[in-house]
Amino acid sequence: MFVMALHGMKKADFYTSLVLLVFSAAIVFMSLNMPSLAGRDESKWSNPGVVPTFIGVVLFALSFAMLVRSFVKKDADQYSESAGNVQSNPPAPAVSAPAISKASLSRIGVTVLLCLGYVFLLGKLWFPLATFLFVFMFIVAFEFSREKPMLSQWKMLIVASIIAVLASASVTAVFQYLFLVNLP
Amino acid sequence: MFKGLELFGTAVISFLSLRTLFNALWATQLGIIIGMLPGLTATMGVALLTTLTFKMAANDAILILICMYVGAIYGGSRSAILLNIPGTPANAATTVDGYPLAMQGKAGKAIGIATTGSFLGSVIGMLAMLVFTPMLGNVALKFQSFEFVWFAIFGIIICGNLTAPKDPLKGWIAGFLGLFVAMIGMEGIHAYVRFSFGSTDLSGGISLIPAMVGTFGFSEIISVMRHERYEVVKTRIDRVIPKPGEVFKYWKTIIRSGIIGTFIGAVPGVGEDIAAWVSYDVAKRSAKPEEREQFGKGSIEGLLASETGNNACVPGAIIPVLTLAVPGSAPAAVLLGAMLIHGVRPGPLIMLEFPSFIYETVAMVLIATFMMFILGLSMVRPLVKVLQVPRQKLMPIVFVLCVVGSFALQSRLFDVLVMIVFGLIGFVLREMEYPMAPLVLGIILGDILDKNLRRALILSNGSIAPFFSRPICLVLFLLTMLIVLGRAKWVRQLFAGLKKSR
Repeated sequence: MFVMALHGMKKADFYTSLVLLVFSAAIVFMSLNMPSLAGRDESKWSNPGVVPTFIGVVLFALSFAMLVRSFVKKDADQYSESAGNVQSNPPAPAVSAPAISKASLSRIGVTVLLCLGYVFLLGKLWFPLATFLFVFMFIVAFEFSREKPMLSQWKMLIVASIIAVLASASVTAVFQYLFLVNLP
Repeated sequence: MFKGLELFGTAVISFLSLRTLFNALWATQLGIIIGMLPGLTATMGVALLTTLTFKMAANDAILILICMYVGAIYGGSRSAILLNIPGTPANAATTVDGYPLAMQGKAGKAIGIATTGSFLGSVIGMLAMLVFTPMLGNVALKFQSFEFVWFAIFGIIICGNLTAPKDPLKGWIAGFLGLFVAMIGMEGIHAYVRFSFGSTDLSGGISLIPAMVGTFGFSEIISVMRHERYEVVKTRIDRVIPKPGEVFKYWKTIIRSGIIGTFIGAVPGVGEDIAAWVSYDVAKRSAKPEEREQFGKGSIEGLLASETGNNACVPGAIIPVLTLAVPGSAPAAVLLGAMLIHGVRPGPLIMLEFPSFIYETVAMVLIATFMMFILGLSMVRPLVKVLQVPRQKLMPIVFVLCVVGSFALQSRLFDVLVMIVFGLIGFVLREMEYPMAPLVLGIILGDILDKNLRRALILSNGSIAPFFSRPICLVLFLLTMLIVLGRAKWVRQLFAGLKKSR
């Protein structure tokens, strides 16, 4: 019932606060179970669990405050208007878009998947080759158009290959040979 | 005082070698380019260069990082003016008047004004750094464990308050999550491994640089890729160097914004974006009515205020790095990490252990500032072409740099995973309006809080009285309470009621 009445950010805050409450309770529980070193002539205040317990308790209190607020707060905007906001000026457009559209979501998904794929290949494949594949696939994934015939997109594929070769070679050369940095 | 000036002069002269100036030149230019490109922030630029320079001599490496920092914060104004997208979060306020000026065909003028404002802001910040760093260093020598505990809590509270002005609760939660992250791994007193769940990698703790590259690099890549393509404003860039009268007409705004920027920079974790917004806001409120109407429509004064404020914040953010080992901003946090890697130990003892390093750092800021001014007024037209590089061609290369930057310091693939996890968490949290600065500050302050809270409790045998009876503690406690209660609705209503009844 309550959940149904929640909207947008308020709903997100409600769920986040629940997750944080469980998380912070777990921190407190684990911290309290950390060994006490009082038996070894050490002060009990030097126990490793002292500070995590403090952090867990504060985090629990803050999460609880957010949970209560997600019920009580009438309108998120109403709160922010009365809060004496220094960022009263309009934020830059395109930077803080409020909601994620379906197209944005698919772009985010493709980006994350490609990046995870690249990280998965690291250590398994030679770094320059993995980098070439990643850069090439990334460019193709965002520039390939299903509406255009395959043959008309050969130029894009060549450009993507050239960029991928140059990026892979230059990153390897600069880091490994110029700055003597280890590569994955 | 004279001893300080002498040390500063010696430091400046020592940096006037061809090799050092060349390093400063390329690092500042690279900073400007990184700052210009949406998706590449100053934090990431400094983090990546930390990796590249960790085999260099300490002074060379730190000069390069400071040049990158100063260059990137300034460079972000280019995309703010030409794309209406701040290149770094620090330049968000610059879009408000910079872009309208570009739309009016005055892009060259706007770039010139932004460059001059950034230069003057940086100079004001540098002067403040020269004067206040040794003073604060001497005060910091009086800090003991009790004071450090309050300082860590105060840092999280004020950072959360200022970086999430709409909802400070989220800022505080982010800060305490950061403190928790710092608890992972082996603790510093008994070498007990906390929250590692049997993982050898986790027992080493979460390294700051991969976490920051993820939070400010990978999450930024996802943010950039979610949008459709960006359009560079089609305008002729003519005269870039501004007429002195155009700038110095607003000398009061410049000085005011410089002071505000430096002060906000010195506040733990708050950073350049808030400095720019506050400077802009104060300039708008203080402007003459006819000038105030121009704010948001292409006001020179507004543009000057935001750019002076954000660049003045850079030296301001380095002040607490040197004196308290607490960063004033996210890039300054990486700078702090880099200093530690190079064997410099910033913090209260710096005045005793490395007194000349303070003045060397001020000299580095001076060199970076002049490089930024010279490069900012030249090479404007060719650099606009950098903005036209499609993001789908640029972002995969940026991600490769994120991976290499995370991996290189310790040669652990685990750090790459840390970068990925923090990037994803950072993206989701930002979508839910949690600020990232308190999270990062929490990771740094976690260790300070951990050691000092336990030491303080051991010293007082569990009594909390000294936390409230020592003068500096009392001031920090009252300031913390003022911030927390100042944001509580019932307190505001109470004060409103009291005012009405009068």
